[in-house]
Amino acid sequence: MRRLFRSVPELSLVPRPPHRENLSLHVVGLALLFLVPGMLIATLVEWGSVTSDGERPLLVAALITGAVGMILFAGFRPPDDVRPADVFPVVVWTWLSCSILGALPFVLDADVFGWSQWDSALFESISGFTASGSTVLTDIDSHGRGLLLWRQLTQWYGGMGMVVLAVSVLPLLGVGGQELMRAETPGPESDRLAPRISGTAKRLWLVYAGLTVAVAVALFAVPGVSLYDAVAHALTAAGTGGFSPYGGSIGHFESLGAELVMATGLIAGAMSFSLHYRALRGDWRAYGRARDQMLFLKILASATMVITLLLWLRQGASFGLSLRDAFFNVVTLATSGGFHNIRPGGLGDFAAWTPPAQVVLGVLMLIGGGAGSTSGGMKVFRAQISAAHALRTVRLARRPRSVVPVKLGGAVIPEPVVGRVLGFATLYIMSFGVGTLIVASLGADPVTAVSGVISALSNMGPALGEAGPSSDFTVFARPARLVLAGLMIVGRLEITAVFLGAAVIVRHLLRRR
Amino acid sequence: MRASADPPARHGSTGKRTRSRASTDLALWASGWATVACGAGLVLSGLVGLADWAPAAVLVGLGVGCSAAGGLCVRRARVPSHPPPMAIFAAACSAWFMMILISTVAYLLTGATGSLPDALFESVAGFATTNISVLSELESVPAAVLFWRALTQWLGGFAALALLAAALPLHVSALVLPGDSAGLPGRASAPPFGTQLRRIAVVYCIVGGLCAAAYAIAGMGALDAFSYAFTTVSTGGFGNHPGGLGYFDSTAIESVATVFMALAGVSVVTLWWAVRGRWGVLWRSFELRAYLLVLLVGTALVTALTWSDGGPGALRRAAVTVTAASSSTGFEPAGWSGWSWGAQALLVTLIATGGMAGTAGGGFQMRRAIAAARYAYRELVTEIHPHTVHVVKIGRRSVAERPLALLNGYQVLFAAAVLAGIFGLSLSGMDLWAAAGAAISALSTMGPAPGADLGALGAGERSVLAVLMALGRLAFFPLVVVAAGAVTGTRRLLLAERSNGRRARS
Repeated sequence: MRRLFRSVPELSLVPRPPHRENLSLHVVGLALLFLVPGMLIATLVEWGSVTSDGERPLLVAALITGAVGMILFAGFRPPDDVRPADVFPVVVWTWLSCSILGALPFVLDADVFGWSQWDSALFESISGFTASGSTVLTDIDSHGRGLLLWRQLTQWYGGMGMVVLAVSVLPLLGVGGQELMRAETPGPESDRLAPRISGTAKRLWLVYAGLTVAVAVALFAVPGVSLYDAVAHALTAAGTGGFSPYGGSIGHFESLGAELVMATGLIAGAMSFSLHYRALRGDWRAYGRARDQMLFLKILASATMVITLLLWLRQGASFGLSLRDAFFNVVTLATSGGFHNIRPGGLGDFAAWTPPAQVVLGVLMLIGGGAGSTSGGMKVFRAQISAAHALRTVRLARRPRSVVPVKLGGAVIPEPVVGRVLGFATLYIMSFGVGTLIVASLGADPVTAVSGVISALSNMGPALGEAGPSSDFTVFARPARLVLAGLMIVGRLEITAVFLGAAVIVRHLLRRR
Repeated sequence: MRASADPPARHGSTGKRTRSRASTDLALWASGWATVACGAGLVLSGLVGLADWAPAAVLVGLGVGCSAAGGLCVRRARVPSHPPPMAIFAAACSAWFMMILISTVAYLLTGATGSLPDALFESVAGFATTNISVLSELESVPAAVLFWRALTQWLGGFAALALLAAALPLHVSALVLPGDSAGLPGRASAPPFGTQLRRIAVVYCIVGGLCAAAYAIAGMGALDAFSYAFTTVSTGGFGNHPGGLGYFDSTAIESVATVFMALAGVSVVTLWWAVRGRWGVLWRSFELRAYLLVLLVGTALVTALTWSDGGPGALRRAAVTVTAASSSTGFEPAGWSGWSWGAQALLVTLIATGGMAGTAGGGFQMRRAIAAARYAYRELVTEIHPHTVHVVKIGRRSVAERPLALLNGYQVLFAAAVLAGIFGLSLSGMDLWAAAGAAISALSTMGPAPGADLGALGAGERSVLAVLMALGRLAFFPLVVVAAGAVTGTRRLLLAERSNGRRARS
């Protein structure tokens, strides 16, 4: 693979630019090249589909992306040493450029968005790559199968992350590679699964691909689900994305089996992939040792129980139906998946649930899944550390001179980690506040604005209020959608990377002046 | 018997006994003073409303009784010189609840409120300086009771400031060091509790007196002027008439209210140095500048967002509302539930942020917000430069790590309380936006919130709001620590009993 890319510049017709050192552009180029196969597969599917003929925009987008990627990848080489400060711009640039070029198929096809609605196309693409699943695409079922598959694929790429993908084939980065992965993957520290960081990245992507295949096979076994449907939904389940080629999402199938398979896939996607890897290697107890992952499962169970009771007692639905809809929606919201199961005779529209149930859903959205997973939100371990710290301050207030460590399951959490978590929480609240104020000022009602911003920051998908699962994000004004798209990237990269990346980029620009 | 013969055990037990003695003595002393203050207030209210003699006589009688009982308590109690934090917190809680108890009795005896829950809720709201009232027909309430109602907020505000001063050596009210806040160089340690209390009282009374005079000049009657001054300066918000300040329909009164609400949101310490003529301190205070900036920017934004609703009157309305929200004074502007969504969201954010630290106001408070933002910035920088030593500063003064840790804990508790409050309120039937607004507003001791109709509250909503108000008013730690202490104490007792039982059996 590496040799192949290395040999390409000599063959290319593009005049070779000066061989300059630039880590960002090098990685961006590689990430873009990875998008090309996806676009080509989507083109083939579109070509084979009898109902539509939109293969040309997809093909053109693939060619443009490939060309840009090739030029950047071959034209710039990574520097010999990578400092911690260098990695943040890389991540930001990668996500921005993948989102922009990933929007090309939507823009080039006049039936989808066209150039006049470039912001909607960008929103859809960002929502895809950040594995959010909020959509502004109306009348989804009417579009071509290939284009919709590309939409699913963006979430698959974004779920594990393009930077991790790039790191898996870039052996040169050394220490910088680990920093890069840490900047992109959610969690306190990235687990080392192999001696080399590229080995770790490769293993993570393998587990991810394996999970996708497993979900696809299980879905295909459910009666009434075609191969295309199974693959398309598996792509977004493993990445806890939430896009579906149907407007009715999972409710389209009206099948308990499909809901259970998707819920299982989402739960697996919202737990640490390094743990999955360890379990596959035979160490099943690794799950039990990871306190935050176990707590995540407990949160799921208790939230399902509370909401089942609320639906059963307050809304007068039957117990079985309450349990089914509570479970699916708790899972899809807590894992930041964002599918819905609105179907005739069901309770899938959670924006119409009784208010306390919606509050529980909001809290689930905020907390999100386990560390090292593809889910969004604050992550359970951060909530755990914050709560443990709050309890500690109560003890500190009582005994001002005491020294109390923060402990999770018997292990002492180092103070720098506690500090980072609390700093993260503050930044999260600030981003949330500022985002809500802007979105509400642009005309959204507070419940829609608050839940929309939480949904964007947690990479959830649908929100509450007017932007609920039965509706879409077209209820927001066009500028507000751009703000939400920005928040999705902020949330996907866990805030720190975006702020630092922006700061470093600005500093570079100023210095160049 | 055998245990007392064992030397180490005896040492331990005497130590504990002294500590618990100090705790009860301090609680007795604080509740005693609270009772005396309430008694004096009751007598004053009775004298003010002498025209309607029946309730006035009840209040005077109750007041004299309270003063006598409180005086006895104060004389009996021996105050320890260095009380442990637990004792201070327990004293604060007991004094606060004692005042609520007395006020409840006063409301019940005068028949101003119908039932015990009503009287209790009105008292909690009063001493929490929050404007949520269960009195629907204010015009029929006797003048003496109205005056007492305003006084509860005045006393509640003073009690909050006293608690700040008392909790200072513990660094508990995170970052509310008066010496620090004033920006005086070379004054690291705070003055003793008595001195601080005297200074706070001087500032509080001067500002209150000025406010009453200004209201009177602006056209209020004497009773109204004093009542409204009490509730303005304590950032309470109770009014003697329905419809908040809109009842008077006077620009002069609204301007006076705006100025004094803004002043009530300024730290007493800063005001103390201003009273002493050290104007430089005002200018040097970073927090004060931030507070004024928030007021200005907030007013400008709200004016812009509501311009289409009211045209030129929007500025005046926005100034009153933003100042009321920012200082958590609960004067409710008419019709704000109909304002644009952006304005409503902004107001709720301002309510949550609150005024400066070291005031009778509530909310998260400016100083904590600044420190939290600086802290987050520090954590960002250490991400790039892991080995730097980066001190968090407010203005030019650095903040120690211990208060920062407490601040972060406070932040988590605040957010958790908001979420729990929203859940509780929505459980008793409020819609989401109303529940969010009401929970944040009650926790910030403001009271009303845009979009929330607090006119007819059920028992469930009332209990949730009362808990939030108490948490917000006592700044979490006293209540939480005392509750946690009670829990651990009970558990220890149970454990000891169990082990005693086991020993007896064996």
